[in-house]
Amino acid sequence: MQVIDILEKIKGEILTKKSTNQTFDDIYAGDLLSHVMAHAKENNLFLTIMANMNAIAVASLLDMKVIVFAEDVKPTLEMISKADDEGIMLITSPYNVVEIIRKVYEI
Amino acid sequence: MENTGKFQIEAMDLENAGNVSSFIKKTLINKGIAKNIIKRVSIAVYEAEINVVIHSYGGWCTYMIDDDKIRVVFEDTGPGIEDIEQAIQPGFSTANTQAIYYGFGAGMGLMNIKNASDTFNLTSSPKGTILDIVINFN
Repeated sequence: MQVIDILEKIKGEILTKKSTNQTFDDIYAGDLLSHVMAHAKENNLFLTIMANMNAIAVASLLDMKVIVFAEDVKPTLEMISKADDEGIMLITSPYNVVEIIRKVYEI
Repeated sequence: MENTGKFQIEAMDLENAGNVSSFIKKTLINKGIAKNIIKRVSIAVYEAEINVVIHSYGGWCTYMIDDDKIRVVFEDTGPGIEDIEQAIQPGFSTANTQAIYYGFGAGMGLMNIKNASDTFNLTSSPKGTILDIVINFN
């Protein structure tokens, strides 16, 4: 899927430099990082409320290129800069995790 | 790229946790190691690094890469794991509030490391814990 196709649906705001031609395969939603490490897959969109450096580290280690923070959670400038260095797109959305999944898959 | 290296890991330095695993991942990418192997190394080293950060008084990580495997050893200065069998059980956690705030404390770390590794050796006393893991490239 293309980020550009879901951005409006989830009222997403891109916080990093990366352009909207970024793609992803399916969504992995979770906050406990050991579960994310064990179960998320390469190129998943990582949907979370966990806005700290460790979320960026986990996304980077698993080659997830897009993180969407639900419920208006905003990453710090340091996180945004780290994500830019790692080539990871950060997006914030006002909706909660379930609403975001519903809107992306139109269910 | 060096085939061996040693890093210091500070206790409760949650902002920098992940630097060691990130470095090792990049080293393996540069060596052309297969993606699925790199993923297993990344999982094991990240979880082990986090364990030193959130559970120990601080420690070190040493890695050694040769043609067919990587060995990574984590040592810390205590306080040790009281019951290793219990600590490995999924869901068992002694993580404190601050670690939980950062998304840790699922109680999955040691099992994730064990599942990702080809050999897994964990020894512990109140003076410190040593985790010695090997992941084969083939």
